[in-house]
Order: sequence, then C-alpha cells, then structure tokens
Amino acid sequence: MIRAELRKQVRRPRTWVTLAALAGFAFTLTLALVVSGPERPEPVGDVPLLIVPATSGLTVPVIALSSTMKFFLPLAVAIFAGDAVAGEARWGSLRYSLARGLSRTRVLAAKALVAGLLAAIAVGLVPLAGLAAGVAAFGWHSLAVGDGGAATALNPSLATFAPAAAVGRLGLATAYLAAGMTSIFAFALFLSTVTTRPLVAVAGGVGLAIVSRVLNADYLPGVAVLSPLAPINDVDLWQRLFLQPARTDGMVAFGELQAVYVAVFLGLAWWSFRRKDVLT
Amino acid sequence: MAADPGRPVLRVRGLSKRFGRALALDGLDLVVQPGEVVGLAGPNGAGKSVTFRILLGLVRPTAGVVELFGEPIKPGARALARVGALVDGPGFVPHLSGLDNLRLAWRLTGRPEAEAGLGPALELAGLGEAIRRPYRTYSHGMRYRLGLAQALLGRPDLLVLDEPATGLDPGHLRVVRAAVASAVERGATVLLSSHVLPEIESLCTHAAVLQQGRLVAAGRIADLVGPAAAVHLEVDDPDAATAVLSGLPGVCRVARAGDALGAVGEGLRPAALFAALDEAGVGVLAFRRGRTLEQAYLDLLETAGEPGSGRR
Repeated sequence: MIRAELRKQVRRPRTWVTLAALAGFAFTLTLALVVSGPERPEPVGDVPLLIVPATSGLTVPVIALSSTMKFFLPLAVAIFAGDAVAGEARWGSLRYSLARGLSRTRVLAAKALVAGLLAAIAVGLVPLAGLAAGVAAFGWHSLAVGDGGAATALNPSLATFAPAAAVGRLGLATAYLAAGMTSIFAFALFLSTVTTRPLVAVAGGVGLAIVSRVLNADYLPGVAVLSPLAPINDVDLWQRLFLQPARTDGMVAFGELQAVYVAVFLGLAWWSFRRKDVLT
Repeated sequence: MAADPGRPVLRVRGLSKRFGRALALDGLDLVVQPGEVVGLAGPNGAGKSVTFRILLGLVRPTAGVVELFGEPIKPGARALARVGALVDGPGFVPHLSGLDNLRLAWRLTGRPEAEAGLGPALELAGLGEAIRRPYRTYSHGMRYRLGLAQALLGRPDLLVLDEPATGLDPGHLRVVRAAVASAVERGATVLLSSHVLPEIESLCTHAAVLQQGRLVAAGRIADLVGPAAAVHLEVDDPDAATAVLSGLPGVCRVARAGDALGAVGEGLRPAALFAALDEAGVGVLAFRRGRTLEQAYLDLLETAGEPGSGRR
C-alpha cells in the first residue's frame, strides 16, 4: 500500500512543483547574494549569527534554512500533509480504496508515511540546494560565523568551522528543523481527515505556524505564558549549533513539545479518520 | 469465489442513519439472495445512495446491521474485498492514465494482478487507446466507463452500481447492460439504483422501492407490477385526461408522471376510454395495457404518500 501511495504522489505535478519551488528559492537566494554584494554580512536568526556569503558556499544553506523556516517550509510541509487525505477525498478515489475493504488505519498510515517522507525531502532539499548553489558561487571553504549581537560587524568571529564540520552541523540543524515541522505536519494531517478541501487543511497548517509565531513573547510580552506552548516558536534554536561551543539548551524541551503535539494531532487524525463518514 | 448458496448475499436489518437532524434511513430491512439483480428505486433523498455507502463501509449507520456474505459490515470488513462498486460517480487520480489508475486501485488491495481480470474489464469499458491518456482528459462518459471497469476488477461476487447510466448516452447504457450481464453470467449478484425505472425493469430481476428512508416494497418485478387491470397512456393534455379517466366507471385510481398516465380499475374498456378522451378533445399518443414498473412505482409512492402524485 505504501508503494502504491508513493507511486501516486511521486507522479503528481504538485509534488514536483513544491519541491522545485523550494530548490528554486535556494538558487534564487544564491543569485541574489551574488548580485547584491556577497561581502556584506548577513545576520541570521535571533542569536544572531553574522555570516559573510562570499567567504564560503556553506553560508548559503544556513541563510536558506533561516529564510524558509518561518513560512516556506511550514507551507511545503502543510501542502504534503494537508493534501494527503483531503486531496483523495476531493478526487473521489478515497471512497473506492475504502470500499475495497482496506483498513482505514493502514490507509492513513500509508498516506502519513508518504506525506512525511515528502515533507522531510522538502526540508532537506533547501539546505542541499543551497549548498550546491552556494559552493558553485562561493566555493568550498571554512564557515566563519560572527557575532551579530555586537555593535559592529567587524567583531572577531565567534567560530570557524572546517567544511566537513560545518556540513555536519548543517545536517544536525536540518534534522532539528525537520523535527520542528512535525507539529505542523500532524495538525495539517488531522485537518485533512476532517475536511474534503485540501486548501483548508493546508491553510490550517500554515495558520498554526503563523499563530505560533504571533504567540511569541518577543513580539507580544502579554502572551508570555503561552509562548512555551507555541508549537514552532523555538524552531530557530538550530542556529545555536553554529556557536562555539554549540548551545543545545531548549532543544530537548522543544523536541518533547513536538512529540506531544504530534501524538495529540496524529491521535486525533486516526480517531477522526476511523469514524469519518466518507461522503465524497 | 461465488456466493454461498442458501445464505443471503446482503442482509440489512433495522438500518437507520441520521445526519444531524435529518433522518436519511429509517429502519430499512432488505435481503438480497445470490444471483439476484436488484434495482433500488426511489425519489431523490429516499436513501438509496446512503444505503450503498453503508454497505460499502463508507458511512457508519446510526442503528441497525448490514451483513455481506454473512459478515457484519464495518470499515475495513474483509467481505468488502468481494464487492465491486461504482457509487456517486467515478473517482480517480487525475494525473494518472486510466490504465495506471486501474492498476493502482488493484495494487492497493494487495492481491495478485492475475486475479484482477484487467483484460475483460478494459474490454468492457471500451476505451481503446484512450486508456493510456491522463484521466483528467476524459469525457464524462469515458470516466463512467472507467469507473465501471474498476468496479469489475477482481470479478466481484457483488456488483454495486449507483445510478450507473444517469445522464449518459444510450451507448453507455449498453455498456452497463453488458457489465450486469457478464456479472450475472458468472453467478454474481448485482445491486443497482436508478431513477430510470424502465432501466431497472429491463436490467433487474427484483426491485426495492424506498421512500423517505423506508422500504415501501420489495420483491420480484413481476410481483411488484402485479396482475392489476390497468392501462398506460401518453396523451397531449394530461390534465384533461386525468379528469376524464377519473370520471369513468370502473376506474379506481389514476396516476400521472409527466405526460404519462396510468389508470387502474376493474373492467376497464379501452373502447370506452378512447371514446371519452376523444369526446374531451384529448389526443392519445401511446397506449399499452397492463402496468409497467414505473406505474407500479408511482402507485406505491402514492400509497406511501409521496407529495405531488395524483391520487383519486
């Protein structure tokens, strides 16, 4: 069943358009950095890190991840998850799968696994495309990270990573970011089992990301009590992996928060899908 | 695997379904025996489609039991693997070809491709080379034929067809007839619904009439039509004809459907009937003695209180 689902989704134009858009973003970003003056330091994230694109191609995937984590990646993840069940319901093919006596749990699991795989590919594609384009544009050199919180950009570097070490940290950062998207994925998948309109489920996933960002004590001090519960507020902690020594405080707690949201939303998706009256 | 002799293919007991405050099915009982071709008739909202959806495990009943091949039906029931269905129109993945869609649908069942019977299904659908085109490029009729081919995959023991020919050209009806005939030939049971009663009359051995979620009548079509003395007319002025027929001696009931009228009674004399209509200036376009299923259906709905049916 998983292979059949994978075949269906892989041959779908939406899949390729979404992935191409993400890869295209990384290439466009690289082009923009080349054109707009790669010697200028780029602040990255809330830490903030300061990196100079021209110093190494490894700077581009870091900038790309930072630029996409708040909207484009949640959108891509929500597209794959939100369309998983609702898309088939809209086509009408879902009822024929279920009418052949397939287990609803297995159908949902297959859809969730394939959508999860595509979402993971989407998250991984951004740094990979950024790395490819960055190395082509700026070369394969050590990654120097400066202190963006200091008064000037001329402060000495916080750290310098050899290319292999930088790639390792980039891998960890990507994995952390992917984990940070799981709550959005699970929420969009849950909505996908409730509605027959994929757009509603996708919008719901993106909406959760937006609401999460709004419930941020940095922007709205009055909601500080809710801030720790916001599903993706701490998704940018990966940037601390590029400090020397790397800081991981808060990352485990964020992972636990994701696990809770994933358990709740996937549980709701399973409960909803098993009980759902399939009317389309 | 053929249906077990002696055990009903389908047994529905006290089936009810409520959507919010709307009662879609109200204590439906129905039994379908192996080899029968049963037509479900009834006006819109009578509960035909929801009955199909429940027996396919797509909708959960509020009350009652559905058994297919002796197994209570719930989502994922094993008995559903023996059912082929076309319900609420076809549903396929738009970017895949018709052939890929059929193969994909079959692969999902996890059964060997040799059991699919893809060749006969494709032959029946008659899509030719178009079977390799993306589904989204198909016309309405082609989509239905592909849906029919999907329903026939695996040579199901029960074929469920919901309004299989509604809104389609006569050529498609021929394909539906062929599908039903091939299913019956290999001993399968067929359950279909239609608004077109002549279609049910020509395809089915049995019929069940639903109204407002309840079973009004069920049985062999010959029994439902009955031996009642009746005439069936098509006239150019149905209002005047209804008045004339209602006033004739021996006529106990007149029912109307568009320009068609049916009169039931004792000792009906066609000559007297023609004379009376002629005198009233009503032209007779068609005349037939005896009842059709359509007439029996209208009578049944009348008896059950269907609004809009003329009743004397």
